[in-house]
Amino acid sequence: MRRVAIVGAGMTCFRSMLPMTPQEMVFEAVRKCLDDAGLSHKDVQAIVTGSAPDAFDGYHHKGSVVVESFSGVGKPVSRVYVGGGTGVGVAVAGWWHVASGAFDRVLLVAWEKMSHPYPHAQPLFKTIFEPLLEQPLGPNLIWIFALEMRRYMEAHKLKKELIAEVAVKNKGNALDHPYAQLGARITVEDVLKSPVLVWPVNRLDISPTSDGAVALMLASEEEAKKITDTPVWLDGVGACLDSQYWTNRDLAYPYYVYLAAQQAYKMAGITNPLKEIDIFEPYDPFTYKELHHLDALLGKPGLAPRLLAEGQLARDGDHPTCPSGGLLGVGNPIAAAGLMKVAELYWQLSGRAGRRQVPNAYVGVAQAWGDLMQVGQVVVCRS
Amino acid sequence: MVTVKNMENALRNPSAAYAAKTTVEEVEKSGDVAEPLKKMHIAGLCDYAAAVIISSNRRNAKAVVKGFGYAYGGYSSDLALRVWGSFQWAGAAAKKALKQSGLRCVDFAEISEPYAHTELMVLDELGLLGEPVERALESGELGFSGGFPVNPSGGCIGMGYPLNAAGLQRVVQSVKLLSTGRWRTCLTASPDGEIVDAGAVVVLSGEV
Repeated sequence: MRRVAIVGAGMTCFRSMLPMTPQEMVFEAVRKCLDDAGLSHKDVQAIVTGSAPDAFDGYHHKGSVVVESFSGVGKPVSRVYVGGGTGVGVAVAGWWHVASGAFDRVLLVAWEKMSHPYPHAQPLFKTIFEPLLEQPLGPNLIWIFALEMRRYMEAHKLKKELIAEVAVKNKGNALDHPYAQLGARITVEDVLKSPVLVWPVNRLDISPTSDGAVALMLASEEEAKKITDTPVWLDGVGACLDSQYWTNRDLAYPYYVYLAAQQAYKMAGITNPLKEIDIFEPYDPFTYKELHHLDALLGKPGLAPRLLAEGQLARDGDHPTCPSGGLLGVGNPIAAAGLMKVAELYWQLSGRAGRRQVPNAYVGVAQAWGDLMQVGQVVVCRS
Repeated sequence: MVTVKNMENALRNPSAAYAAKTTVEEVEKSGDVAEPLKKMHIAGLCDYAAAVIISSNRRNAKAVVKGFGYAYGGYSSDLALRVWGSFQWAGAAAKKALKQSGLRCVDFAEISEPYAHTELMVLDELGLLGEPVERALESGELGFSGGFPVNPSGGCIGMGYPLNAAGLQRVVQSVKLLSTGRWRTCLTASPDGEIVDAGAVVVLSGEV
């Protein structure tokens, strides 16, 4: 297997009701990414795209509508779709393309236009659940997550006050992200006083719906050396699925994320993630999810809330987590949100993160989660 | 003639749902769907699941992947901008797959054809025949016992069209046909659905 480098990144701002079409968003992100790498679209040999349900845009095969935005005509183009895990899944699939020796320069692009289903995308999610046993109950995403959050709180005896600190931290971090949708200085009290949607989930525990696009350029080791002096190496990838039946999996600990992380760590030669990894970008569509996922990335159930309580997950703490601002702060255009996390690793580890820069960051992990809430996608990067 | 050929090929295939001995006259009389498409030009739907195991270890291999290629042909979501009557993806994808395989020709082809004309449109772009595709079809060259059999499994028209499983259906059938020992190499192609001008090609060899 060949070593794979990230040599460029670009993104649009994340906004609700962004006045841009999917084609325009993808064009902007790709243009910025290629400019960053100093390449032209002619240098791109293959493209891996990612976008979540076709239902958002209202037509099947929505992947092909953006092909011209990245000059994909006549080129190998593929689309990854694993729900919320899509963004990091695109990076995992991109790694296969380059590591296998099939291509030397591969463009990754993920986008989402969640404003199309006006007034809200939530009703579309009702069709994703298992049709025989679960759909008749009429679930929506928020009450499914409320169940999981309640279980997580019970397992580790956590208070809402502590979990709310994730929202305070991430929205605060996002103030330094130029493309963020919900950067804000808020307090734990603001989170607890925001409307309860489904107990224990409050309004400020949830990431927003967003429009946005992110692009990343991958290259083989030999090509990367020609393109940049500061490549960031994609040294480990992992992916894992659990059962889609809620009754058949452990809601307190996402073991599938643990298994995906272990695959990536093994590849990257990491044995003690807490000591060896400098920045963490776990998937945080809900406040508790950051902790839930970080537990699995660290391989120790219940450790993440303790680190949070000690202030170690802050950007200037010992284990900076979501220094970008995460989905809670930057926004959640489903597929693009995951790739934004990989882009953050690229910016942080190559020293390009501006006001968000974590000093002495050399190794980072990004993770996304989704499908029917049971897929883990993990990448490990190193500068 | 594509329908007649594929349905007849399917008679040899125990997995086929639409195997039959038929004639061009029967196809012409099968009823209009949308001029010039007749009912029997369209592959009947079927339920089908395919699975393939790929390994770097050749020891127990049934076939070897010699090359692959896939491509987008053109702006295909917008039908007004589409170049009708040609599959631009097929030329680019096949060229890459054949170059990688080091082969100039193959012994047979398996091509997903939701419609009878799809098979011919893909063949047009592959450039594997020394003569125009229509002439090869008329002379029986593309038949099971011809010089370059196309869809000897029966294709989607003979086996039934399982939508997104159609491409892997062709790969499974290609491997089964290679393991009969009658042919050594094949090209397997599948368009990306019915609307979009995109698709993928693999070149397989039965010599492990």
